Amino acid sequence: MPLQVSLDHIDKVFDETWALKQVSSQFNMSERITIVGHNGAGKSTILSIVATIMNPTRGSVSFSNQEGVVSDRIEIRRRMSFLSHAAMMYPDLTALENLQFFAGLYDVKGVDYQAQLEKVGMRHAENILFRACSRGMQQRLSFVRALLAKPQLLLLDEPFSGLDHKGIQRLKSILIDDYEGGWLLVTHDMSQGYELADRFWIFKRGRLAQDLKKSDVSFKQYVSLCETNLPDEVLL
Amino acid sequence: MKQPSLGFDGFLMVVLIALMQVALIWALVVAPADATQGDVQRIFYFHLGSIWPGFVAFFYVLYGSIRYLMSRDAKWDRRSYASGQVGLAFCTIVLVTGPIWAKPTWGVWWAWDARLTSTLLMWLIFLGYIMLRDYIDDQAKRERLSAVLGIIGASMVPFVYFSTRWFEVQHPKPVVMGDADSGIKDPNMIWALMLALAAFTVLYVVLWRRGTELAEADADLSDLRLRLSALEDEA
Amino acid sequence: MNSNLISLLLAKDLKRELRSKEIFLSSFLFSLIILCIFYFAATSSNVDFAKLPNTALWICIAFSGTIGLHRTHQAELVNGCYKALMLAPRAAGNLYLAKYVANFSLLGLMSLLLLPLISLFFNLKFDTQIAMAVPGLLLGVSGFVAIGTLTVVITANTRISDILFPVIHLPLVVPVLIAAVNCTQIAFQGKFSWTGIQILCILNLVFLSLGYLLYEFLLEE
Repeated sequence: MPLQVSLDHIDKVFDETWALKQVSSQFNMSERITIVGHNGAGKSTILSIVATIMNPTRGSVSFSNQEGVVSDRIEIRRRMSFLSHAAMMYPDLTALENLQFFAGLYDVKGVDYQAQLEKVGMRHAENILFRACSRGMQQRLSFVRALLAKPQLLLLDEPFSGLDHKGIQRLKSILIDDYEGGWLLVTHDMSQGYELADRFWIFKRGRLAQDLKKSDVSFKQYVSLCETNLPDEVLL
Repeated sequence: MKQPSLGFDGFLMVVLIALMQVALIWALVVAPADATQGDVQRIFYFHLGSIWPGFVAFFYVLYGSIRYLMSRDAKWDRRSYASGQVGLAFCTIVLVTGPIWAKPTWGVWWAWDARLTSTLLMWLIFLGYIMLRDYIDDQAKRERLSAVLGIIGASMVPFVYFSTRWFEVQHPKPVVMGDADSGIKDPNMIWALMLALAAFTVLYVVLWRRGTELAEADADLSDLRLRLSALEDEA
Repeated sequence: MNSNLISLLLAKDLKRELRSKEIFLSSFLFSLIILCIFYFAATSSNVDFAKLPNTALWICIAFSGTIGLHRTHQAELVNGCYKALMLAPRAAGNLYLAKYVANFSLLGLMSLLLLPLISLFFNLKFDTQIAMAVPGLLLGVSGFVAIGTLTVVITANTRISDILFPVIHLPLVVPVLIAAVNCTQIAFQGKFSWTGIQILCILNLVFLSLGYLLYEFLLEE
């Protein structure tokens, strides 16, 4: 069962600057949420806090199922995977060895690595050192890594950065077709954000300015909302 | 804005000044000069007087750091930090007075005496604890990592203390002149030592309270700045 | 579950080391040049170089061990790999033990490789003097690594980790170095120091317990 996550009046301060201000919301791990906001609006910070590797300055994040609050961090972390522009893969291990290491770390057994690599079109590359992979290959491997543990919630921090159009399409189709859980997707690309989400969070200077369901807004309304909340430079 | 409790601090200040005067008179006038070492032995009262609050300070760092990690309340970090700073100052006094005494007594400034060597190591450990803060930008990270290092550092203090002594027993040095502890026999000498210990302990408490107050004020200030920036943001 | 985690991290670090040879190059070759400098410095001040195998051994371990530990953690930080360990659904204490075993294997191996060099340069008998030094040497390196596994993570969060790490780490491991230096010195004289070994075991136990309890607080951003 995917957990219910509630953010309760979260403040996060980094050295006298606000990253998050009074952020409160609730979501289910199976929801697909896009987070947009300008640089330094606290988008990545919220991912780290949900991932339980960062404590908020004030406020709290809690996880619960029908029986009540789940407080075992290991139990919570097992349900999530983090995917950012940093690959989290060892340069001196091969693609396959990296995947095996992460499967071990999450205690996942009986993985068909060939099939997993095939999905991202990298079957031929299993024995290439990660260091020798191109930027696009590295990002595709990170996708496989993040999905290995069959998470219920993916934390995606600019997952398409550094990829060409074809690569983006391929990874998007994996997310949409092969993956069943939910995600929090941080992106600066508004149209991509719209396409992949069924809910939007628009952050403005650390505040959760808008919390919308996709069913309630058309693309046009969404764009105009983004425009009123974001400075010009992020509109692509 | 809370008013600092002047009452108790004022009282401590009076006690401290009185104790220091009495301790000075006892150490310099009332206590007799050492039979073999002469007047130079008198520095010993201040030497021993400052190592004791040094230890207290470092054990407070251990206590405060544990409290911080359990509660994540920044006040425990500020208290530990103030204690570490004061402890470092006391260690410095020990490291300065030690050689001043050693030169006329042993003929050398530094003789790798276990007491001084262990103080030097303690000094290095806590200098590291203080230094670490300057190089971490984020406040929450600074507090958390300092607390971890504070616990490791303070837990090492007894081991440093005993291992240097154990080493000295394994490898005895030839005694150059006299013996360090030969002096304290006269009851007035014991009084002088006790008074010095008391005065330095009160001095530690006063300095630690001042240091904590300073850190609190600093934290209040940055909190105000933060709220101001939030208000400017709204406007 | 725990032994599986240990073998996982150990296999990963050994494989990485075999490919990159970072620790071997940075630590072992560095030790070799320290020994040369040590020879020139000792001989020029009229000290009998042959009497100093223990001094040379521990200076090499303190220096190259520090470099080696810092290097392994830097490798962990590339591509944000350490973040993956933070995120892993594993008990922090077990992660610490696994990391300790991996670091200890690398540095322990490196320190064992120093022994033939010491034996060669100082003309010590391999089957008695050198062999007897092994327990003290390994226990000393173990204590060094037990604390180092923590301090290297602490200092990695600073702007100047490369110099702050030795400055913070080395004073903390002096108790273990004192005991280990004594142990190996007695071994080089052809005897065995039970007291030294006992002290080292106690220190290791304390250090490992500290690490087990505190590592949780180093797995945060």
